[in-house]
Amino acid sequence: MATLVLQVAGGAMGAAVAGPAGAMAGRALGALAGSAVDSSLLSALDSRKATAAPALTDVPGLTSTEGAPIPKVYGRARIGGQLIWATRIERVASFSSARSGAGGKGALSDAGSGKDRAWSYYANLAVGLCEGPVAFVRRVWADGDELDLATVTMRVHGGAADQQADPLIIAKEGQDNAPAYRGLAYVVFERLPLASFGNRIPQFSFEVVRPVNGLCAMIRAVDLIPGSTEYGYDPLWRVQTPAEGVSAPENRHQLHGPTDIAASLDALQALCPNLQRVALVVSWFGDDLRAGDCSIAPRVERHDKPTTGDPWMVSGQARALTRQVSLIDGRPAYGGTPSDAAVIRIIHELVARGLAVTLYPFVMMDIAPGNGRADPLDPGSEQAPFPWRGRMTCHPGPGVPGTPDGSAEAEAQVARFFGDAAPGEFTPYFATVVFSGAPQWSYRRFILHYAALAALAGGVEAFVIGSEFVGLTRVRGAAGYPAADQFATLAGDVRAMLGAGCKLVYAADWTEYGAHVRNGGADVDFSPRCGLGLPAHRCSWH
Amino acid sequence: MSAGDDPMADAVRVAVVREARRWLGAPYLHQASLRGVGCDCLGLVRGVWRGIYGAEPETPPPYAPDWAEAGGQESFRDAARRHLREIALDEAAAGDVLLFRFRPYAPARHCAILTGGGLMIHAHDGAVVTEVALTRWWRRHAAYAFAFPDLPAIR
Repeated sequence: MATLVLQVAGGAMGAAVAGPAGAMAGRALGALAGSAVDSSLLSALDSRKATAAPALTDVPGLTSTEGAPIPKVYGRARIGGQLIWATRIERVASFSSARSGAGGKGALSDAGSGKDRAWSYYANLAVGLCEGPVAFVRRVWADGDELDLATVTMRVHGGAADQQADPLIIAKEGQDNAPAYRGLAYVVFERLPLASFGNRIPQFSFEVVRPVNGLCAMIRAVDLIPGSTEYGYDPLWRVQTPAEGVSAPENRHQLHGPTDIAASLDALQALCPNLQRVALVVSWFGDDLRAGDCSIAPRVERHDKPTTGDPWMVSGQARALTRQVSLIDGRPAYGGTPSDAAVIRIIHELVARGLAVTLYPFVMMDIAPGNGRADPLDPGSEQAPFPWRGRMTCHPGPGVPGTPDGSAEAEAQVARFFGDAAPGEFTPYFATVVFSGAPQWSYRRFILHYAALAALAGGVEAFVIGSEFVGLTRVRGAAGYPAADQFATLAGDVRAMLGAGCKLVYAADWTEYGAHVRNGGADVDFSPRCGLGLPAHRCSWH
Repeated sequence: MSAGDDPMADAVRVAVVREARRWLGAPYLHQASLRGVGCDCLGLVRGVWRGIYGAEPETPPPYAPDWAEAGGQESFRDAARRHLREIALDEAAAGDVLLFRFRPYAPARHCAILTGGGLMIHAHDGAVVTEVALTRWWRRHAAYAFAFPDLPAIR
C-alpha cells in the first residue's frame, strides 16, 4: 500500500519540479522509495520480509498528445504508443447476393434475389513507441487481445540513427514530406482491417525489447536445440489435423512469428547482432547402454499424427513404420526425430539468414524406467532411465568381473554398434535420403544419413561426428581402442561425402579430452585421442 | 550496388532506371499499366519493358488482388523467368527487378525495380508509384531477382 501512495506522491512531485520528463523519473524514484519503506514496515511487522520489485504503474494505451515525452525502454517492457501518422480510414464496399425466402433452395427463378452491400474499413497508421534503437517488438495487443501478426502488415522501424522513411508514408505523403523519424522506434500498420475492433482504431500496446549493451553483442555461435522435435525446426507452418474439421497447433505456439522457429531466430538475431554460426542438433535414439546391443534409430512421437504439409519421413522411412519414443504417464518422453524435409528447410533458412550451419547429429538414450536391461557397469541392476550416452560401454563394462575389455570380443561389440553402412548406400530421394545397405539401425547409418542429407541440402559449413561417447572410446580391443578407430574411419567417409570444404569435428566430453587413466594413474594412455586422429591440442579433423 | 563491367548491360540498367522514374506518382490501379493513368506493381515493370523494348512479349492473364494467398502457384516468378534473366538476390543492382513474397512459402506476388543507392521504385498498393528505401523489411521478403535482357539493337 505504501508503494502505491508514494508512487503517486513521487509522480506529483516530479511533475511539479521538472515537467513531464521529470514526472516519469519522479514516478520511478517514488516507486523505489516506496518499496524501501514497504520493506522496512513489513520487516518490522513480519519476519518473512516479503518484498516486491518495482513494477510499471500502468500500461498506457494509444494516445496522441502534443509534447508528450518519448519513453526510454531498458530490457523488455509493455508500452503504449503515440499515434504519429494516419491516413483517412479506407472504406471498401463488398456486394453479396442474397436470396429471399420466397424462392427457397434450388428455386429456378431469380425472383426475390437481391444484392446486399456491406462496408469494411481499413486503417493506415504509424505509432511512435520509444527512443531507439530497440532490438525488436515481440507481442502486440489490440484492445487487450494479442494480435496475430501473421494476419496484418506491420513494419517495425527500430529507431536507428540512419533509418529510412516508411514506404507507405512516402507513397501517401510524397518523397519530400515523409519524415524517417530517426532515433524513434515506431511501427506502421498498413491496411489494418478494423472489422474485429468494431470499425475503429483499437487500443494498442507493444512488448518492446531493448537489450542493455553487454553479453548479447559478444555471442557469435549458438546450439539450436531440441534435437528431438518432429517439426519444431520447420519454417513451414504446419497444423495437426487429428480429425476432419479439427486442427491443433504443431509448430506455431505464438502469434508474432509465422512459425516458432522463425520467431525464435528473429529474436535471436535481433538480440545477438554478431551471431555467425548455429549448430543444428538433430537426434536419433539409442536404446541400450551395452554398445553391442544398442540400436541407433529415428523415432516418432506417435504413429497417428496427421499434419498439413509433407508427411514425416526420415532415412526413407515413413511415420507408421518408425518406432515410437517411450511414454511417461501416457505422454511422449521425447519429441520425435526431425523430419528430413524440415531439416533441409531449416538449413536453407539459416543460410538465407546469413548464418553458417554446423550439422550436429546427436544420440539421445531413450531407455524408459522398468526396461529390464542389464546395466553393464552395475551388475544385477537395470539400466538407469534416460541415461547419458557417455555411459555406453562394452558388456560387462571395464572393471566389472567377466568384462571383455581388452579383447577381440570388446572389438566385436563396438563393431556391432557402428555397423557396416557405406557411403555408396545413401541416395538422395526428393527431400530425404534412402538407405540401400544391409538392414541395420547402426551408428554409421545415422551419421552417413546426415552427411548425405547435408550434401543434399548444401551450405553446411561444419559437421559433428560423435559427441561425448567417453565410455565407448575408452573400451580397449585386443590392441588399441576400437571405437576411436571407428570414429576416425567414419570421419574419412564423411569427408569423402562432404568434401574438403566442410569442417569435421568430434565433440569430446571434457573428461574424454585428456588421456585414458587407469589403475589409479599407473596406466596413462593417450591412444584414444590419437586413434581419433586428433592432435594433442585440437579437437577437429582439419 | 555496382552494375558490373559490361557497358551494354549498363546501358540497359540506366535506361530501366530512367524509364521507371518517369512512372513516379502514377496511382495504383489493379491490373493496369498506363502511364499517367495508373498501374499495379506488374504494370510498372510491363510499362518499363514497353518503354525500352517496344511491344510486350506476352499479355498477362487476368488475376485477382489476392491470387497469391488464395492458393496461387509461382506464376509470377515463372513469367519473370520467361522474359528476364534470373540472378542471385545478393547480386541485384540498379535496374534489376526484385520479386517479393509476403508470407513464407507463399508465391511471390509483388515486384520492384532497384534504382541504386539502396532505393527502389514500386507501385504501392492503395497509393502511388514511389521511390523508397529497400529497407530491412523489404530485404527480408525478397524472394527472387531478375535482370532485364540486353537491348536487341545493341546485342
